[in-house]
Amino acid sequence: MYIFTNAVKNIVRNKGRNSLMAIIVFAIILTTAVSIIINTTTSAIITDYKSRFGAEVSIGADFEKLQTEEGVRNYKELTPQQQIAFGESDLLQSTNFSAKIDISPRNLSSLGESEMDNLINDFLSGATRADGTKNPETVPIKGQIIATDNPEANSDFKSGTRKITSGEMYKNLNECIVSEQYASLNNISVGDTIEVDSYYKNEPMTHSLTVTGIYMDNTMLGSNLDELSPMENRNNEILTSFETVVGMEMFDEYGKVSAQYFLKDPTLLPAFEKELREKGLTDYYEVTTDEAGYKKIVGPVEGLAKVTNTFLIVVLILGALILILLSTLAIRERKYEIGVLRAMGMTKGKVAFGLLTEMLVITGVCLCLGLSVGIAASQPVADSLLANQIELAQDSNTDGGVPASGRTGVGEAVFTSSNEKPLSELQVNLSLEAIFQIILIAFSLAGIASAAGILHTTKYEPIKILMERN
Amino acid sequence: MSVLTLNNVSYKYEGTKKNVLTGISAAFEASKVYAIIGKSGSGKSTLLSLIAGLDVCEKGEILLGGSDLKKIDRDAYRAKSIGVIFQSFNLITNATALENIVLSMNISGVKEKNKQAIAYTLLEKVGIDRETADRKVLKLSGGEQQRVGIARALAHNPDIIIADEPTANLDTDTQNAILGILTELAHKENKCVIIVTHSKEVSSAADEIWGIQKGKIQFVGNGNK
Repeated sequence: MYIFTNAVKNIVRNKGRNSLMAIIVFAIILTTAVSIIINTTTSAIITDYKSRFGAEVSIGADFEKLQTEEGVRNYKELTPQQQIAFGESDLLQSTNFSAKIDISPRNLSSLGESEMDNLINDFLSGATRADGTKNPETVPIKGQIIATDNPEANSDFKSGTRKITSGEMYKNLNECIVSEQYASLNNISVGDTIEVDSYYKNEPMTHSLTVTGIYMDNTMLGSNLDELSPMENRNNEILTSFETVVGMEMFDEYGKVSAQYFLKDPTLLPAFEKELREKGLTDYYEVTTDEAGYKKIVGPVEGLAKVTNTFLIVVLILGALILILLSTLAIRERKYEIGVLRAMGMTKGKVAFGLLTEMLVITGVCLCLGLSVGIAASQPVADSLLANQIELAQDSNTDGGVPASGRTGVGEAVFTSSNEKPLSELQVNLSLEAIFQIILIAFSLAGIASAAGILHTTKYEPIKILMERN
Repeated sequence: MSVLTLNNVSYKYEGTKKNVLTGISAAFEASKVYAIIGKSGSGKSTLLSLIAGLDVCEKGEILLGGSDLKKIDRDAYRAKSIGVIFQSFNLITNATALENIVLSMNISGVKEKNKQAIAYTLLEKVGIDRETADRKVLKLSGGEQQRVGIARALAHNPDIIIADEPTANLDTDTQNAILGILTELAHKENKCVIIVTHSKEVSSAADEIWGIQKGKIQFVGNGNK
């Protein structure tokens, strides 16, 4: 106990030297705390970016290979089944699927139907092509079934372009919703069952759907609907689940799928591509991520994290060297005092323990101060960092830098990004783990600094120290 | 009965060939004051360092109650068995006189709880009042520092007290007072007091005088007797 008491008294007795030591220890601890806070913040930002648009995979035709004769001969469009199978991978964080089928319901009318459609169809149906083959015999296309695997993520409903005005969104298999105009034209009510047919003239495929809701489409407001063909008029779209569409007989023949694949991490791209090749993706397709877009957004944050880490390492190394130097000089200065203590019979171990205690007490006080200032500064620092990153992300969005591609095959874009909400605020807390790290670093530095001085001094016998001085 | 025995002790400093002490044999008894006299460089301070356990002899042995200093814990020996009064005081200069005494008691493992009270009493015994006791050593005069040094040597009640020129640079009154304390410790409290000195006054107060020349004991004589 007396060693501790004497150590504390020694700190007070040598105010000047210990104040200098304390300032350096405080600066190191504060820098360490702020660096760890910045790291925590940047890690959160990176994780957020990764979850939003970090690794959206694009599967597209390799046009260079398609320009060869062999390419033209062997290229085949991806089948919906292939696209669905590609989504079954442990490397993926999420997938978004949408599908559409052109239909021609025999018992339902379409908005914008005209005699001209029938005339054009009659002209094309069964006509002989230039290569001698014949077009299939069809009836005019009167609308589309549009399906998504996650109705909540449907951008039209998310943005408010479309909204349910009666009933509810489809939930179960073979349920659908139709537009107000389409329901009015065909006298459809919520709970009714409708039949949809393929547009092939002979032996059309038929499927029954139960209407669970009626929606309104704002994009059609103010348009001259009479001038739109049935295909152009979005009010003719029957919306249902992806699962329902996949179960339709006509899907195998006329279905077209759009797919978005989101990797858990962009670095998994080569492994995912290998998986796709094994599942039958030919060399005429290339698999890419919007790496440039990703780097544009995440790069600065990752850069910041790297700079912070480097800064932390430099501060720790320089700080440790300065502390060792100061400690050694201080111990040299106190050589006489140590000689007296040894002459009085204090053991080397107790002398060393006393010196170490002094350093630990200084470090402990600086640790409390450094952590307090660090915690107080953490939120403003994090807010400032996040604000810069949001600004950067917005600039990138304006420039078209945020990846929004990644759909395969042919089809309408239903999703523009993954379903994560953008990061708008970040609550920074110094976690117990971070505090433990700071404490560990602080006391390790104190230990290293003390060890240098202790080793230097305890190798001398007390008589030598006293004789040198006397 | 001797408390400390020197058997054929020789010593030379590292890196030198010449012995500073050669074949010193002697026995120190309790209740006696010993004066070791000799010219500068004769080896008397080196002998004192060996007796104080601050260094170890190259040849021979120094026995404390039959145990060789080389083989026992010399830190514990310095802390408990002896009290050393240095010529240059060797106090903790940025601590108070009182703190020096209490620290010495702590190092020696003195169990008493009222160490400060004991320290004040000791300091008063050597002529340091309370006000002076609470001042930093740096602010004390040479004579006051020497008194603090004596008080520190007595703080843990050792059997052997070793003093290196304890009255050097002190005025006659202070010198007499300090000599009085040391002789009283030997004669009334049965301590063995060993003093290295140039002073005739000091040597004449000793029970035995040992003359050292060129690292050897040249003569042993009576002092006050």
